[in-house]
Amino acid sequence: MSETDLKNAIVKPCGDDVVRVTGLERARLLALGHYCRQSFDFDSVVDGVSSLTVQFDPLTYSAEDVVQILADAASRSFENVVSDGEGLVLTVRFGGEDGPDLEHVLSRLNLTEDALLQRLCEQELTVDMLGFTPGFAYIRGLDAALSVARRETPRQSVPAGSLGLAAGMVGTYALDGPGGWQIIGRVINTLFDPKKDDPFLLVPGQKVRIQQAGDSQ
Amino acid sequence: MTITVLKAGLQTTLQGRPRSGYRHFGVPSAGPADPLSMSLANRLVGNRPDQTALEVTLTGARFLISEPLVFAVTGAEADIRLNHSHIPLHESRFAEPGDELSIGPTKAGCRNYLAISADIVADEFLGSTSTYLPGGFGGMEGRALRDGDELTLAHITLPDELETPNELRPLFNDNTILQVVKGPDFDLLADQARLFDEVFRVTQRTSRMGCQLKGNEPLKTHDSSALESAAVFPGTIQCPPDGMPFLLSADAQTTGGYPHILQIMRTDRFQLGQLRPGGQVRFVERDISFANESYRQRWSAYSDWLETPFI
Repeated sequence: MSETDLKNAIVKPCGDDVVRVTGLERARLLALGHYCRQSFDFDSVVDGVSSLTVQFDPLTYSAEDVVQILADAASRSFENVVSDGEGLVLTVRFGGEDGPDLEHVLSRLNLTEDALLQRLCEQELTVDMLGFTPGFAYIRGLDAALSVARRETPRQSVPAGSLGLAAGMVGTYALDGPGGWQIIGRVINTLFDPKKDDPFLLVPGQKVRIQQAGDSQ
Repeated sequence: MTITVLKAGLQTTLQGRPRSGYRHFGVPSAGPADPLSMSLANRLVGNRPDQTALEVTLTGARFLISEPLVFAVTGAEADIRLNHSHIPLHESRFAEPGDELSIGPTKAGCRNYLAISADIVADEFLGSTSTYLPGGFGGMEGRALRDGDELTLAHITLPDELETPNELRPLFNDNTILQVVKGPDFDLLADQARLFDEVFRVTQRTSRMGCQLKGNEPLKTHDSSALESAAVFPGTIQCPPDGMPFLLSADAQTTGGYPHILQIMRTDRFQLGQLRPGGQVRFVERDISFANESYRQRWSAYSDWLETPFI
């Protein structure tokens, strides 16, 4: 824990039962979130793009308590940061029924399927955050040349497991739901398992790599 | 053992406890838009405060009862009738097979809660039966109830008829005062004083997700294009570029990028579920320690009547 990190952590209430931490680098914010979920009885601990926000029950904590807890926690050293360790491999079936927008994406990018998949699979990607719809993962680190616009008309229902491109990112749908991303394939890994304590496979900070199904490497 | 939905109205859903602890996965809490009224309804029929009940919206709904049971209705001002006799809000009643129960439409406020002295069989998703319509989970197949739906009941009990003590009954009159605490982006507002001087009107854009308010003219904000998406919650008030404050309710998304200008005090959040299009809203600013103390007092006022905090 460097002096700078401590100096930069800003811990501020955002309401009577909400406190937010900003000013830390992302890996530390994610680790702090993980620690808070395990160590305290907060209502929710939610990652933002550059913040961590805690909602608490004022019958259990006062806002002052929570500011203090988070300020103390922000100065801890975290060993098992979520983003450490092995990347997760997402195995994907591309095109056909699984990826109805693949052809459209290829023509927009002026790439062959092989060229697109090669670029998509050679990069290490990082889960940025989950949101928009339950379990939807925004994954960044995509080659800028693979950036495409969203569909002009969103689909009413995109099947669970779908993998899409939009806004320079990769997105995965953990559940069936509406969606406007260009769907190019389907992830074979189970993205959502309601029987698990952590029902969603992807978490913010998680490193991922994409692999084509049937491609043993 | 069933209740038949004769008329589902504008939107009738099954709601139970909020789906808490999953916001970091993008899963909203759902649950009743007015949890205080729902817990009071459940109390009257001997249920847990967050047991699955029906949330009926604006236009009302009608049900056919086919088992002896006890029910109670709370929430918005509305006519409640069992067959043809008038039933007051906040009083539980015994009903017999063949009885027809009609609720609403609401005269003031937006939502009624119907609690039944039984377990209403509902889909459970991530530990809660609450219906989340945009995600299509919880409740009855993740959707609003339709005419002809049959709700299955289990473990029916027949508790004595009860009334909510008068001083514990919230009253809704479409002239709502919401106590608020400044949000993290309050300073982005160009005309801060207007927020607390003006009377706002609830627009037609009102749902379980949130309510849009309209002031005398749009609120102006300083440049907010650099704001990054951060967590939002039920009770968060955002100011989008159109200058019309948006109050997030039970189905609030988990993150948002618009300026978060105010947060409604937890004590007053139940009133969000009773805001209806055309209703008036005024804001009163409070500080955090006042808000925390007010919530403790609210809870202590209800603690003899309700066994666990759910307000």
